[in-house]
Amino acid sequence: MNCYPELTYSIYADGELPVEEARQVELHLGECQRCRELVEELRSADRLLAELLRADAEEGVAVPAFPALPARAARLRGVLGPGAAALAGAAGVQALIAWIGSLRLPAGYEWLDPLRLNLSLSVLFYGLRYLIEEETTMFTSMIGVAGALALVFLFLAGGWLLLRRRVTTAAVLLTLMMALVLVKPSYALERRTGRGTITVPAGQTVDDTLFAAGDAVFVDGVVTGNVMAFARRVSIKGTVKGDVICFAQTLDMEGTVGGNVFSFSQWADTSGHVVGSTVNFAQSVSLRAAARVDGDAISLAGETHLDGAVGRDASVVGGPLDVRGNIGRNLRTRTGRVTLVAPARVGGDLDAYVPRKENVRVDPGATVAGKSEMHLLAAKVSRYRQWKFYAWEAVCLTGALVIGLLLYWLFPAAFTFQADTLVAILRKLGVGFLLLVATPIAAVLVAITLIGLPLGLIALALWLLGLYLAKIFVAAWVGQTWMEPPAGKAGPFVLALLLGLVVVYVAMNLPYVGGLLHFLIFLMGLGMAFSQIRRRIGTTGQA
Amino acid sequence: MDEATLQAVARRAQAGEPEAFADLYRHFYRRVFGLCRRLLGSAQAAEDAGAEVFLRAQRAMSTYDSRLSFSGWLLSIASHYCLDHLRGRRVEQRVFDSRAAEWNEPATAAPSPLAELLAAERSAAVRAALEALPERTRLVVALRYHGEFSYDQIAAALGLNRNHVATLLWRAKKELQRSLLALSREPKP
Repeated sequence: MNCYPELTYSIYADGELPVEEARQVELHLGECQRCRELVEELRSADRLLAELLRADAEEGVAVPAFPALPARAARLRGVLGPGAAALAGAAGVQALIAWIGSLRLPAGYEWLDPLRLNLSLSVLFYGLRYLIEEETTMFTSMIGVAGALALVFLFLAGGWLLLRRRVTTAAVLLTLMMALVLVKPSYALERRTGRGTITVPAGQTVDDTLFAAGDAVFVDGVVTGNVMAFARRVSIKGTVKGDVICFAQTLDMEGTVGGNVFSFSQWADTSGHVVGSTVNFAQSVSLRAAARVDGDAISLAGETHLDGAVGRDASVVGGPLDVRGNIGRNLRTRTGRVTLVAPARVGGDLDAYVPRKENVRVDPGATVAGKSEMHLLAAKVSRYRQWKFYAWEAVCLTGALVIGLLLYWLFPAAFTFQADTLVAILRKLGVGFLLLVATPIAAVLVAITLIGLPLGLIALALWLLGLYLAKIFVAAWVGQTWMEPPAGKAGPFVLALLLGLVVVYVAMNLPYVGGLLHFLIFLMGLGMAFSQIRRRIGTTGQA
Repeated sequence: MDEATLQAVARRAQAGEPEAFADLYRHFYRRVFGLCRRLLGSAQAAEDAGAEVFLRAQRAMSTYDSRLSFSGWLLSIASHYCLDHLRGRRVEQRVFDSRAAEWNEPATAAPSPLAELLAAERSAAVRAALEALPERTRLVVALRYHGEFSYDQIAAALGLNRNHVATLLWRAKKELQRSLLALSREPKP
């Protein structure tokens, strides 16, 4: 009879062979001296392993006192303590903000107050105007950032589920907690919603901000705060002392508004008095002859008619514009056509961006007090079709390559990466996001104190530097991962870095998704830098 | 305590008698600690794990089937906890740290009873041979010799198949024999 393989004897010695097979093996062992010895050797190895392992691991171990509930309570304290401290801290910050908010600034300095709703909204809308002037690139990158934020949130949530017991998780949770606690208390608000018509009748005064949503909103009385209206038709014949923010198909503004008017509507018709500025996003914007806007008139519309008076500048973007009214200062346009019909008058300059010179027509009766300048809009050439774009990117890439090589020369250890799992990558993105958000906030907070100012500035500088280096880090990682054969040694660093940089630069400049990728590269790079530094500190700590 | 006494104590603990559970704790702590230390590779981690395992066991007492061995049940809780912990740690290490677990911690200073049986160098050689094993083999060895798990239990805990477990254990034994053989052939200084 043939001998069994040694593996079978090993299983037999462990008593794990099925009964029938074990019987066969025993029969064979009865007649084979060599196999008996083999089994005996395996058994002795077995015994040795068992003895040694247990003796080694258990020897000299003192049994600590039975922990049971105290340990649990202590753990609970361990969680509750920092949690309560964080909440208390957050509540303190909130109280501080409330106190700052309650301070009254001397008249004339209100614009310094960052917490005023009006101002925040103005900043938002003026920001939007800037954005429009900056063309759509900013839009795409902003959409990218918003998407990335949502993604990062998902990453963090996923990471949390995967790595429940880690410090970073606690940091994320505490950040979220702070964010929840610090939410600004809502303003006093009167809400009126319904399916039909919502009316503030003449003679009635709403001593609050009015939030109205319905089929039609009529404000014939007085609202001392702001009016926010969502309706098919919004008509304001009365007085609003604050701002009007309106999302409607039709907006009729015949009354008086003490603040600004922001409208997103199909037709925006103004014939009343606006003490602040008007910002209109609409298909058609009309400022009737009776209308008076003391501030700026900003319009992004399919067509714009300015027949009334504008106290300061008028800026119009979109379809054709005709002006019959009086504009106090400059008129800036970026429209297909501009027509100034008598008795139009522009107190300052006329700056018109038009496709063709003939598209600007100033009637003999109309006057422009300042200069009239026309800028012809060149047919827009895609940046991908301009050699300058590639040349510039190549210069940037070369610069990054040189700096990367310099860094590699100085700190070669910083460029050794481990193989990452998906979870590790997500975690790095999460850490990167924390750094990206937390660093500037911390720097600003520190900089408020005089002693902290240099510290804050240094932190900001490091942060900006980190943002630049992030690309290089990611590029080195991508390049090395790509070039390195799974089991072999790393290829020459310069080639890996160059390859990585090319990949990173191409990714960042892709149409549509480039902004998002750029953002992710920031996160990844910051996260990687953090993990490398942490590893470095860990290693020196050990040494 | 013999097996019958243990079962009786376990039943009392299951009925909610705190002193009975404390008895079990005192009786099994070293065992659990040893397994955790073997699996996690550090005494510090094993201490934390030991406390956690007994907490979990206490909370889960109602699910213990008193017809089965209590030590098997308890050690399986310990191994599950440690394997989960290792999984988490592996992820952690990949993110922040390339160094392996501190498996090479110095042996305890207290004299080992084996010191009388085995020459110190022999013990060191075996330990070195064990440490040189790949991580998965080490886990299998720890579960088998420390936790006294069956092939099937190991296979289930580590997500391997039974044949794979058998092969890994056989290799570990061969490795041990080889290192002892090499030691006996080495000329004494």
